[in-house]
Amino acid sequence: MTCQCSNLRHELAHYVGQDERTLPENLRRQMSVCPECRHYFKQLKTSMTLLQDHLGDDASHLEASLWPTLSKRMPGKRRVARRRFADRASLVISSSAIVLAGLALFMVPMGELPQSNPMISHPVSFPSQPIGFQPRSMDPLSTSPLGFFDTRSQEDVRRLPPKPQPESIFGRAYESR
Amino acid sequence: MNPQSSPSSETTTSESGVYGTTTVSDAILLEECRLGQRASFGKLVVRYEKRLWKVVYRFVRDRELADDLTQESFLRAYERLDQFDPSRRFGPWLFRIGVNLTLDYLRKRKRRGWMAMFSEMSHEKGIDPIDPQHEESDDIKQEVRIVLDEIPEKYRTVLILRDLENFSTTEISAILDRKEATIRWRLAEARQLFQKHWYKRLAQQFPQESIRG
Repeated sequence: MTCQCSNLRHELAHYVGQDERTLPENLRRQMSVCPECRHYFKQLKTSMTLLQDHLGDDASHLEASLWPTLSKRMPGKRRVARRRFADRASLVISSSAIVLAGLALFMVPMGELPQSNPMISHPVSFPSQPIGFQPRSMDPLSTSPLGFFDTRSQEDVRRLPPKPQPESIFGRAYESR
Repeated sequence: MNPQSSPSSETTTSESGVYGTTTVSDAILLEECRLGQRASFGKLVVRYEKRLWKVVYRFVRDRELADDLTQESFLRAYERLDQFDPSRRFGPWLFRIGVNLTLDYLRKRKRRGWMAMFSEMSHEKGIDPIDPQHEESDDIKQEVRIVLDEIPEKYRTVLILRDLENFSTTEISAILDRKEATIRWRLAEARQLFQKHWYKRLAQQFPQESIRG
């Protein structure tokens, strides 16, 4: 048996109940050239006829309706209410899970910020007062970039070199004007 | 109301299809069932019980067992009506429940059979012992049954539904929840297996006749 025969025999099994003349062209050609395949198809038809002849009408018939017995076995009420409750419960559980997950997502970055931020390697703390510290006025409108947390005295600030002015995006001409 | 004594006009099924052309009526009855009308389910039972019972009987070959399994299938369908997709047909869904239930039962029985084999159980339990006084046709029938039982379950199921119960491959694919191509392949395989086992058995029993073909 060649590989082609094997494939075509599988295909032949689809057409067992049909007349040989109605077979597809490739199968008819195969049957005409391969006596083994022809014999195989004949055997297939015989076995299927046997099956249908002997077991086709084998099944007995239901003599009386099952409904009278079945109706007694059936529950009085369908479990619709229970199912609805189950649906509601699952809805509550899933929505609360989503809310909790959202809260967790919100809380985790908040808690991890001091450790994860490389700019602030130590916890924020007020520096201790240096010797000769003179408290300055806590002016919220102070020009110091550190604002409230700037502990430098006015003298220290005056000693600092002047900050280079950032170049305007419009160029020096605009600035000089 | 006894649906058997007064079947509605909707229950007449056409011969064109296995489930008939009662899809719309099924949908109406199912909607009524959902609203709690048991009588509507009774109509569905009357509509499908004969066909379902026959299919179940094909597998179990026991009238009482077929009765029980058919009833159980309807009960399950009734309990799971909420899971049924109304856009689909009721017939294949019901038959899927019935076939799955029957196959599950047979698997359990087979497992029990394997366990009971240690306590002197015949390996051909479930098949009636061959009576020597039976007629020849009965003997052949018995042989055919034995050969059919030798085929693996997934192929046997398709063979029974297609070649004995005349379901179309589309309907079988809906019942077994498999692709149509899979069903066609399994059917061809099942037929080949049946042929192979049949002629093998024949060769064992009648070596001379099998040589002649």
